Amino acid sequence: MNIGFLTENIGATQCSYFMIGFANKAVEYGLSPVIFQRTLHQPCQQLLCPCMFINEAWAYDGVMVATSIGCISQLLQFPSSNKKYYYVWDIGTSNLKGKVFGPLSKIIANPDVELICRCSDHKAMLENNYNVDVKHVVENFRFEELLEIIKQ
Amino acid sequence: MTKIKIVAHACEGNTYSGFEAAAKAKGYKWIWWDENMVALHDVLHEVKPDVVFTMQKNVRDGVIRAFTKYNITNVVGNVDKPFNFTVNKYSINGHNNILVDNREYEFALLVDTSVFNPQQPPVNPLLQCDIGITAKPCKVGLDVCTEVGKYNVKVLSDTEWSVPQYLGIGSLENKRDLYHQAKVVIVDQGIEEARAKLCRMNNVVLSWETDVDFDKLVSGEVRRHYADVLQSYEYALETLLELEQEQ
Repeated sequence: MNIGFLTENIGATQCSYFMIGFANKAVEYGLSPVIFQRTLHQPCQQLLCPCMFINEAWAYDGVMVATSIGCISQLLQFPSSNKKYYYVWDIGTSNLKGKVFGPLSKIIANPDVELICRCSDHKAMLENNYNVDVKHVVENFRFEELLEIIKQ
Repeated sequence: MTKIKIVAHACEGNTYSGFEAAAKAKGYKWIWWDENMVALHDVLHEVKPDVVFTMQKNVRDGVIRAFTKYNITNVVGNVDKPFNFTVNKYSINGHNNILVDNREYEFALLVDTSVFNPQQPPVNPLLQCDIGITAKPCKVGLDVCTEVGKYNVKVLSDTEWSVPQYLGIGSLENKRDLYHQAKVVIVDQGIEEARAKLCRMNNVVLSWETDVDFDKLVSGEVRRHYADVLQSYEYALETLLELEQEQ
């Protein structure tokens, strides 16, 4: 099974650390994960899977998991018909300066995107703000829980 | 016929957007002026407008002299004779009403009725909620945002709110959809109040109000009605049409 992760970079952030942990475990599990990053960076821990620029994900054949609002907006422009998940690691959207409702709502409430939240507070906030149904809450890329969702 | 040129101050809340639609429909040239980009004197010199819509704070002695020099009709705040383009006319009226041929009309006339009107159905279901807020940060709004989960609150304001319910800046269409679908809206007094009331909103709370019982308003137990505003708006529109036909 191919799983593509889209991230800002694989540098020293909590998100990258847990995401690489998931990807490494997936390799041991016999899956084929690939990480796509928007800016080149040194990995914060040893990688056991390939890592490339995000433009390589354009026609990637596999399930896609985006981890930031920038990544998901880019993913939505890719032609792949695979399942697209937005793993909402943080509510970065609430801190954007001069944010505008229309473009953000089109991304978050997009019917092609399935949302996965990191905690129930994020879930409550997204459901309140965008009238969306967040079906999944997975803390810190927990392997078994996230894999179960992706396999569906 | 000479094309009438209008310069309008792009002030917060797009106060003059209602006039823009009306003026463009009549074939007039409409130019938005951003005070942060260019000084008013430069605009007057370069554009040589026939009419200038400004806010009270921009009207100073030098500006008044310039209006006289260039023979410009000035509309200050929400007053003067907006559709009667008699040049070299200058007046300030501090009220929240507008004057058309010395008759006063409700503030509702300033609303862009191509967007905000009772018949226009909402199109964006994402803006369905219990309480919609378009006001600047205010105590009554912050109170309902603090009680997370009690109400479905959405804040769509030009001024940034430090609450998780803040959705960002909304277009006029977004605001229209919010006014149509929210059970209660909290708005600033003035143009937004008129817009909300014209969307047949039943419960409009003004941002300075205190001791508001939101439970009763959201549940529909208490309803506020604004039939008088709708009536005055329809009456004023009729009069404007008559005036246009006379010209």
